[in-house]
Amino acid sequence: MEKLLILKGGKIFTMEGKPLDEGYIIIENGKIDDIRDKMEIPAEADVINAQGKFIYPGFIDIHVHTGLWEEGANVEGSDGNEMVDPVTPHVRAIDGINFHDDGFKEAISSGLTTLNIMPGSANVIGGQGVIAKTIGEIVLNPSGIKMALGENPKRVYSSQKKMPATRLGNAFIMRKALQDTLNYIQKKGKDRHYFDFKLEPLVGLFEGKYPAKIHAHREDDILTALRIMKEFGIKFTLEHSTEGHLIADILAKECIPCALGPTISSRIKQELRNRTIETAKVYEEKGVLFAFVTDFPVIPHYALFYSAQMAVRRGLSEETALKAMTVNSAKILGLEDRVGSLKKGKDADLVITDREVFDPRFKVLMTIINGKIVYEHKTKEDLFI
Amino acid sequence: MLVLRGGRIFTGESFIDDGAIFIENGKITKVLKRKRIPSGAEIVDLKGKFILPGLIDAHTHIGMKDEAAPREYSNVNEATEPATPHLYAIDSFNPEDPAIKKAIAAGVTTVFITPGSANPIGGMGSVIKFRSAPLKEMILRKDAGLKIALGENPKLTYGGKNTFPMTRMAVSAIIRENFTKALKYAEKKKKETDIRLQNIVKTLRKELPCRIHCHSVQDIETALRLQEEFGFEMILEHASDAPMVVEKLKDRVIGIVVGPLFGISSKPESKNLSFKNPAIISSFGIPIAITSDHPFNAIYYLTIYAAMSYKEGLDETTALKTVTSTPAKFLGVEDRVGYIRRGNDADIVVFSGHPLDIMSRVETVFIDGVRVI
Repeated sequence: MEKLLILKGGKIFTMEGKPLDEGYIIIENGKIDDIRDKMEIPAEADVINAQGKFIYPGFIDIHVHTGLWEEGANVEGSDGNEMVDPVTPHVRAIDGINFHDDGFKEAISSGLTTLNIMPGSANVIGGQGVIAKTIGEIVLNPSGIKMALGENPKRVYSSQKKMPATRLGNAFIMRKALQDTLNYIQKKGKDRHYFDFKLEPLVGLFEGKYPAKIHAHREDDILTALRIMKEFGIKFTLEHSTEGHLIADILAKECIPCALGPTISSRIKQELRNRTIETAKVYEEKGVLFAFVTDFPVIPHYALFYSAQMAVRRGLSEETALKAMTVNSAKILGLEDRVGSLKKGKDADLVITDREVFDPRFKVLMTIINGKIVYEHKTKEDLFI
Repeated sequence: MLVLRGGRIFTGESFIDDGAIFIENGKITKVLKRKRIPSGAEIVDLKGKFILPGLIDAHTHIGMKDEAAPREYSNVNEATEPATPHLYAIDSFNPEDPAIKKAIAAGVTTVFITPGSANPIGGMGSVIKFRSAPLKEMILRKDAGLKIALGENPKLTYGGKNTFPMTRMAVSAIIRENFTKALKYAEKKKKETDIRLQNIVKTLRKELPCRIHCHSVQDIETALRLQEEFGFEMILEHASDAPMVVEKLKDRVIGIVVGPLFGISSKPESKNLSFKNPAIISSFGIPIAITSDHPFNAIYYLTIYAAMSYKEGLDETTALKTVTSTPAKFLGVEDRVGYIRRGNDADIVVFSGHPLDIMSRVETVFIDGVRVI
């Protein structure tokens, strides 16, 4: 049995109702054991005094490529896009991630504790994502099947003189892979030795084991995703959803969760032309379930907070903005019983800051994962970011 | 009967001073502290010398890429498809490679030859003993280890041609696909022989280990993950980043073949190459062999690589084992070579002084009891 760890707060954002102005978080064996207003602190417990500070659940980014494109590396450290075949459901992000990459240090010192790391968007069907704590612990593998519509697959394969060269090709390839999988399931039912390594991971989509995670920026790409997934009865999330504000009614009605962002990147492609800071606010008004993402290394992990701050500046409520980095992020990943809020029984992933995260001057003072201090800000030098 | 008398003997385990090695019919029949030598025996007096089992290099491509031959004569990598478990290194082995004579002159008598690391599944490696006989007679063990490669080499070989694998994700997918097929193949009762899958099945049945080429820490962790999925035994090759995760490796690997260490870190994944690695890995109780990876480093300086590791903190006995008994165990031929003990082949090297002293020279080499140098 490990020693009790007690956090003496501080304003506690539990994300389960209103923040507490003062309180005690009791941590035992890596889990949150209880949160109380008052308590006698046992003599043998370790105590972290966070009075005057701010305590949040560990922050979550549901769409990153951390460790897949290693920091400061060339082609040798680039393992995110298997750009030789537009259909690669059989490759796994976990096999490409360098968990010792500096990107993880940045994430931890930024207060991020859980990441959904996925293959890139060069392929219509890119491969399997994985959810991991930023200390390298695997939480869920696979977390979903990454898919992509729009410009990226078009650009990659048209330059190789292969299909897809158009959005028509994107949709066809996605549909064909899913139809092939349905046929495969049927064949497998008749012959138990029949096995297709490539299609096997797509079977999980039809069994509802994990969702499709579909990269789509433009309104038409979003609607294509919706159309194809409806045809096959597959659950999915939208990744980026850059023009989602144009059809937020539909997203709300169809209950499609959105990984929103990076909202503070530049409009480097045609499909980003309508990117706006206000998408989050529209999602809030229309009732779309969303979470902010950095798409690291597209923007840094700590830019998650800038994305939220900018959205708040343009009218999003602070409450929803916080949820979109914590509890709603967990909900979209299907991990709300483990992470995303401070509640009895959940993983003891916490972040202590000196100011509220909507103050651009805020600093992460401490990151705790599974009840263990994994980052502590002491001097200017140890600020990795 | 031949008797090698006197000197300091390293048996592969420990030292014997002023002993006598009795040799008959190419085998070692006795190793004793100095005894009376029976009359009629041929005696070689080795007083003041240092005597080792014939040296073994656990990872080479000798004979597969001849010394001083142009590039097109290289037979190391069948870089035309990423999974070639059915290939055998011996089919590329040229017994006339000039490096072999130099290797023998440096005391190396046994080697593991293996396909290169261009393919995620490269093929079967074999144990070769250098003796002037047809190749068939030189093979000590034909199925000694299945070469697997992770990291940059397969990625750059195929990704550069816009073919699978371009990323580490796909390197693993190829290995996983073939091993999954092999598992299913092994389960089937009635079947046609599949020459590709049958070699993988041998690793699944633990008849031989996977020899996994990896440098970076992420590739070492991938090897651990693949082992967890398929349950094969493994030896890691190179493993430049092994010190970063050495505790995780302890009960998971048969051992690690370290090297080639003599040179620069020629690629990003080998940035942590260091002569300090053998001492660090060994201090955690993990068996190590030191390799030249010939022709990447020259096989005929094998003892220098061990000596450099000794200089950086590896203890003397372990350093000597890295090129004798430990590789013999890795290769599953310890009953034949790697030791000076009763029953083993009489492959013996005589050094003028301590083998880890750069000034020492190899003076005499016996293979199967026959003096070849």
